[in-house]
Amino acid sequence: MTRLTRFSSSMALILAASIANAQEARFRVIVNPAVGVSTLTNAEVSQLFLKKKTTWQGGQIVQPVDQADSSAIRQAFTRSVLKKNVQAVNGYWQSQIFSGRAVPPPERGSDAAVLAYIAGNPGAIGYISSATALGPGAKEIKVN
Amino acid sequence: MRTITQATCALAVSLCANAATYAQETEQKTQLHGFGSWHYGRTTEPNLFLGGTPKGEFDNTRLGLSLSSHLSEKGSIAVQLDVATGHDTEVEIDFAFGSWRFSDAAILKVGSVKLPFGISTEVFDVGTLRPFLDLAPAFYGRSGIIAENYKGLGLSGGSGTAWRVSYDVFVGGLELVEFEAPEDVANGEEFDPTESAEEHFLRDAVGGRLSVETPVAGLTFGASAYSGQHEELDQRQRAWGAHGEYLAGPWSVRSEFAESRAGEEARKAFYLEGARRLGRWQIAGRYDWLDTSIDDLPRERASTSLLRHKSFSLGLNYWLTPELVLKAAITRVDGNRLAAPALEHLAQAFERNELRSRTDLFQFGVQFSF
Repeated sequence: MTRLTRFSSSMALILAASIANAQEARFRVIVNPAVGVSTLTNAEVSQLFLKKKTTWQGGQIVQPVDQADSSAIRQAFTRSVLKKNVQAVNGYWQSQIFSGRAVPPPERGSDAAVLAYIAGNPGAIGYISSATALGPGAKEIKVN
Repeated sequence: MRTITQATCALAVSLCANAATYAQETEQKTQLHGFGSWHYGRTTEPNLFLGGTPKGEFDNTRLGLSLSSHLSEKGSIAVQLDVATGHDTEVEIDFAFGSWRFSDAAILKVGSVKLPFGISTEVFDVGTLRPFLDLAPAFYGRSGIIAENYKGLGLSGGSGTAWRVSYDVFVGGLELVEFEAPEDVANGEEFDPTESAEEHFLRDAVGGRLSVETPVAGLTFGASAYSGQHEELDQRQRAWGAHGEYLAGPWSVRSEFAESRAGEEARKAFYLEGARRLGRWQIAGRYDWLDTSIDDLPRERASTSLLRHKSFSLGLNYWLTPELVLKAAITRVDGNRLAAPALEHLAQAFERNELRSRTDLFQFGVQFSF
């Protein structure tokens, strides 16, 4: 009976961890309402966040904003959209910085701070937890 | 030299303090970053190699400070100062240039800019971007193939999504640093025993690099080349190279080949380097090779170990954080092209046939960036 209880507890923990991971991966990509796009591909979002593409189609400067690199939402976004881990992305930015090519996007420590940045910068793009409500200063875009 | 170093450090600290305050106020407009390293190196008698000496050398310290500022949406400036102590104490400006972004496919750079050649010329001294304390010495060492920067005018950019092509082209001047004494001894020429490295300037240089990022995440390959008028030889020095890099998950694999010719001297360099992360630990291995040939050299001199370099390295690293790493490595070298006795003994050791072509090196140190 004890063995059965332990096994059941272990399975429950594994299931809970899996659900937690699945929940961590839920985010949405948002932009300032002045940005005239409603859909982007994963690769396009990746290029915007790595500053390989720095202007929107209308010529407006892209202003990406990241979350803190220790946050679960940053790790989920980086894995899912940039197709790398946060460490690899940090390495990419080191090589950009020390060759004088580019500097990384600013970081914000919470969804509220990201929303405030998005609302305050016309070319801004960021990501927040899908559970966080959008204010009037941001709109969600679809990422395929 | 010490006074210059102290004054430069004081200036850099002052600059940092002011820049940090300014950066807080302007956030993305101005950013300050830096990197540093220290290592201990010990070689087997009697050769010196990569900051290592037979008695053990502790004085291998380096600090770099990088400041960039976006002056407008399209214009920016970048400056990097590098201070190193050890056998070759030096203070230098890594780069100082202004850039103007016409588009993502056309960015103009004017000033002293990192040389776009191969994988690591632009991040020469940043230890947290590589598995060993030093870059492959045959390729990136003082072999006279690679310069650290160009002075002049350049254009760079990139395009594409799944297959992304990036390019850099430049015109201007290059300064190559070379440990030339072994070549001079092999060639029967006089050399200055107080100068451990000679600098050669290439005028009217043109060059560039083409890199391709493939749809396979982390796989990049490309080619580079340059040509410039060698001031001393009064002939053009030409070089070309090819590179491939795979960075994915815990793996990093890099390989490069380059060939350079100036007058009667030709050089070929190659390395293959692989590393794997195991949690915070990282194991690494590297093979590198440099061949120097001089036209019309008598056969007995052409086959000397002074013109040969092969080395194999094993490394073990512990990453305390992604920006702070402890590294240890052992290297076995065959040849005296880059691992040689102190300059005042070099010619005598060659004439008396007392050169030891094998050198073992142990290194331990720390590298960081911020």
